[in-house]
Amino acid sequence: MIEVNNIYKSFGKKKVLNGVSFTAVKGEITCLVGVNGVGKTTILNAIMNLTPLKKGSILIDGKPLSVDSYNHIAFIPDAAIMLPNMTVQEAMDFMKDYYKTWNGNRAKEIVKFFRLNPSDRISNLSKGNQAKVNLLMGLALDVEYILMDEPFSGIDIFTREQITEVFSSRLVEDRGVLITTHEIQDIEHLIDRVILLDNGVVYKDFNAEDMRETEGKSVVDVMREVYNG
Amino acid sequence: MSHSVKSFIKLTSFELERISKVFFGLIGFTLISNLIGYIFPILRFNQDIEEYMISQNISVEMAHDALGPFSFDRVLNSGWIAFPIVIGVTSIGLYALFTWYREWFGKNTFAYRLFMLPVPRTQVFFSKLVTIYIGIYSLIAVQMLSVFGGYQLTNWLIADAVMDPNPLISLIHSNFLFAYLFPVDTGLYFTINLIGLTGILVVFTIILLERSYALKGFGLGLMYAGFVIVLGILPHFIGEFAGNRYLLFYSELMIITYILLALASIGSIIWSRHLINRKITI
Repeated sequence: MIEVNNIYKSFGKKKVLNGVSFTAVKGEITCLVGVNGVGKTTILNAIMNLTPLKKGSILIDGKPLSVDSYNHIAFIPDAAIMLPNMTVQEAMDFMKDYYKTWNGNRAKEIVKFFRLNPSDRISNLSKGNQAKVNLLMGLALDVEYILMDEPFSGIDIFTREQITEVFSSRLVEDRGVLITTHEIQDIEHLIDRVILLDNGVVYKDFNAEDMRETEGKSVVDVMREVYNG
Repeated sequence: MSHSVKSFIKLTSFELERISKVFFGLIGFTLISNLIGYIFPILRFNQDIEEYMISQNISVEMAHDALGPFSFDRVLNSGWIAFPIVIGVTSIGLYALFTWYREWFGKNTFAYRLFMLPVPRTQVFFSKLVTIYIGIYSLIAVQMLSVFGGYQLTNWLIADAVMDPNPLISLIHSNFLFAYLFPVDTGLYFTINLIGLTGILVVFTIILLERSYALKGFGLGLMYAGFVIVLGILPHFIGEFAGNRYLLFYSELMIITYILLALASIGSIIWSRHLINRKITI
């Protein structure tokens, strides 16, 4: 379980996170939602120890963040993060060199699934294919948790559908997924839990299916209620 | 070999691969420039002799006597030799900045990948440091081999009778640039290397401070650099402060300076380690 306990973060005088707490568990897709600037990416960065917190703690399966955390959790950011002059194959070799959790067979499967060409240079790929490379680098790791930051951002509808398929495939199965997205309608049917952020705190933490069944509201409906007042 | 050592070697060789084009470019530039630098003064010398012979209507021997022997010092002082050294030193200096900032501001944000590797982040720090040092020593080695080769070439192209008999070592020792590049004196070698190491570590600390606290961090870094400079030169003023310029022997003064610079280096490493592990922001 990923436990985010009462975290605070400011950028200059601007308080972004003001005591955020939630958990994300294995086998579930948890979606962090909120308007721009609410701190979704900051939370993912903090979980990966890529930004310091003013206060609070984060635990991965009960353990504080350490070098070993990267063997249990993968982050797929909303940016190309492998060197542009690397080919897809070289990027995979790089990952294999450093991560004992790298699963070569799964990597091959993902390359096939996304129809990527291993000899293509990353700099020559379209934005959509670069996003697929990012997903490949994260999903091919045998880790318990995957964090994804805006995986659909700036991507055409066909690529988006292909990425959506990943969430219902065995590439994600049994793992805990924590995702941030604005294109929530694309994966709404796949989400288990929703953490709605507003004004630096968790405004609502609910089970998406329960919400649909008990109150007849979709995630987007709940978001509209909150953000449109 | 432990997993930690393996990953450090991998990271360092990865960094070396990334710098290789620049590095081989610098080596190529140095060798080509040096080669021109070896041949050009010899041609010039021969031309001067010939012109002098014609203008004075004298023999070669007389012209040699009048113009003096050919000294390899002419080669060492030429811009063809000095310029690649200046370029090399500047490039290495800039690389100390570039090696960090490219991870954030390159076409892709590789800092994400680098800081999410399941290896201690200090390995990233030291792999960058070691890469710079491999670059520095390789360039010095290339320059050293080139100068020795150039000296042989000059001996081959200039008649023994016309060649200045001073050995290469004494020429290097008396040349301002080469005396620092290939210090013959152990104390000077140690001083230069310690100042260089401290300098690079302070630059790394400033960069990591800036990457952690933005502009405030940069200001703090500059203050830290100022503090280290004061620390390094302070012992040399102890005598002045005490009102006795001969309070300490030169060797004592240097030992105090070495200790203070070593402390500054260790301090920089400890501070950088803290920043890279706990404060850095991607």
